[in-house]
Amino acid sequence: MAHFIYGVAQNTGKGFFTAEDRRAFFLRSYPANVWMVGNNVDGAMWMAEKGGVEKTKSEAQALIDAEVTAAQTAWDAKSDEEKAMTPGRPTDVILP
Amino acid sequence: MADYADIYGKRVKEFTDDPTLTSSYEGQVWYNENSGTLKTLLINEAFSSGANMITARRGAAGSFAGSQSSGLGFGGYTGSNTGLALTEEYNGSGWATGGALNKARYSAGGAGTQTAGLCFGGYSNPNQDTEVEEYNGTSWSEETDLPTAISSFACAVGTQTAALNAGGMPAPRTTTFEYDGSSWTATGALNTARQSGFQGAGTQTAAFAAGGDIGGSPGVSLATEEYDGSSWTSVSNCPPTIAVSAAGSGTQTDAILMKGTNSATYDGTNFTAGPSMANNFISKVGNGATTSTAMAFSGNTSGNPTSYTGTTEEFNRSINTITAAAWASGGAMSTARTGLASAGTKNANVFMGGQLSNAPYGGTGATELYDGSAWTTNPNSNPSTGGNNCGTGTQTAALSWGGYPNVSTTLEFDGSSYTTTGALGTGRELTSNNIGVQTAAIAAGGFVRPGTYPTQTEEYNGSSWTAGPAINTPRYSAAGAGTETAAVISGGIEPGQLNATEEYNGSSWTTVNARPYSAGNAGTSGTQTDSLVYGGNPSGALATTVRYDGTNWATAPNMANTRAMQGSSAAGTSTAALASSASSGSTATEEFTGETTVVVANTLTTS
Repeated sequence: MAHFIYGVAQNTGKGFFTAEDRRAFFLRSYPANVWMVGNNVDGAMWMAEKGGVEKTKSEAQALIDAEVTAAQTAWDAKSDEEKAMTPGRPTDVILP
Repeated sequence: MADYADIYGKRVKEFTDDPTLTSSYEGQVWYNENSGTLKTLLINEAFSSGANMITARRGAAGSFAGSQSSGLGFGGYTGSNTGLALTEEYNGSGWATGGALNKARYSAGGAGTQTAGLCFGGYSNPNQDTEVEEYNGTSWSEETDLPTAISSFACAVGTQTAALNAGGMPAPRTTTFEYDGSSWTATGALNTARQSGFQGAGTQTAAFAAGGDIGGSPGVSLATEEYDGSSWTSVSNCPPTIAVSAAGSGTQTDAILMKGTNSATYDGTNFTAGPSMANNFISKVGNGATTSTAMAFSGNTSGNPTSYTGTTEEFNRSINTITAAAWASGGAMSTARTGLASAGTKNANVFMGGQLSNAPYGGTGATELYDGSAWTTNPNSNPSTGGNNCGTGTQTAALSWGGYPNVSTTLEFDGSSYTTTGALGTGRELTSNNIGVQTAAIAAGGFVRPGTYPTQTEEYNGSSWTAGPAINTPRYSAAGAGTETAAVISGGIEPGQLNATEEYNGSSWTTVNARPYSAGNAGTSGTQTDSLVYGGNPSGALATTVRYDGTNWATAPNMANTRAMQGSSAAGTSTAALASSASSGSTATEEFTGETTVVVANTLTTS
């Protein structure tokens, strides 16, 4: 059985995930509104209740890659002055 | 109908409302007039999650006689047959790095406490080992070797000066050895030879051990044996759910065994199914000389020895209901930004300017106020619009200073409007944040363009800045917390990512224990002696969260999002913090709630 469920869901702010959720199952956010949650009943229920669209790991990775690539392109297009102000060029994100 | 006193020969106390609940009410029954119900106070048994180990691993060993507030884990396996030398200490909140073993190994035996630990045998490429080491709370020293090389101890319990081990590899063994702090003595043999996955609990003179791998197929034994200081006696079988690769804590007459999501308690005669564990890993390490201090950590997924974990769970048997700390989603900001000044608490915060995270990028003076659930845009923007400005104080008495490029402007915010006040002596950006209040603040380090990282500090008195003592390590984007006379900074950039930590006592900065992770641009909340540090960006933002108690660092539950250059909660605490600025450029925020403990009375019902 896979350890994680991947899905896309829009973070609606306060209450989107609660402290109780964090205690009940693993949850981590990635670019492109990709969420990785623990593959248990609580994690699956959370994804469903948030209207999450489940993805395979490779589909989720592709969404992240597209978002990160776009961010990298945008960063590369910045002036040197703008680059000097920001944390740095967005780095690649690989789903574990 | 017979009343309660007729049936039980006892009367039931009657209270207007539930009394103040203490352990003296455990098992008692009373009548609550207001709710019209019979109430009682029961012992709850449950596992609660602890912080993850810094290094996930399997095949670790632990200080069997440790506790939930002073555990010790050492050695283990992460892919190399040489094993690990890494030692970690647990303080009840998180893990911190301890002194390394002299000889890296895995599947060793462990006993003792966090300040008097014992590691013996194990496996270190290419063979089983005889090496024995003692831990003094700081470092390991080599001691008298085991009489024979053994790993995967079937039973390893006791203290540094009175340890016991039995069984193990190679081959299923019946051997039993006692250690007195200086030498090993062979003693009574097990009735059933075991080679691994067989753990017990107790002391050198009163131990028990159950189940285990006996080799062959199916190779699982349910046999349980008790040790009286000289010989082993077979007693009742253990449940199959915890028969192999379980961790043990407790005594011969009050123990708990933990495997996968299962647990079982042993009272010296019978096994009883215990509460479920959250993390489904086997070969965990048990710590705890008693069940009230039991915990289990590390391990691997059943059937997948390359899937390691650093997860930790604590066994709680108490009238208290403990709720673990966690981050949860907060209200979404209107403007996604980084490099901002912030002030206030988790539920009353202000973000003052910063840099836009998305196109058209650049600085902004946009100011937003948070009420614990939603952000509103303040009509008056921060006049300092370059971004990378710094801040401290509260939502209604905040201070914003510095910024890009080499800005010296300082502004006071009263919850609505900004007022210009005394300028920094040296214009700069990305000094430490969150130290002090609007009338007594510190700016430490920073970035002075075109590219210097001063050790210079300045102190603000409500109207002007004056030069303060230099910090020891030059840096910018350090995480700050505390007051003008009791501050702490950690991490930062110089230009490499730092973990150096310094404390300020009002007159000088002193280098103290380094933070467990290196990063600049982390968020903070709390004081010099109790603060939370979260996120930051060594190369890509982090979700890491750690807690500092004024002496030691410990891990804490991670955020869901990676974040850096975020707004945080200068006036918050280590148990109530706010974080913004997700690395994805979103407006999402997160809120931290610390661990809580409450006592709740149970309502009795008829059935």
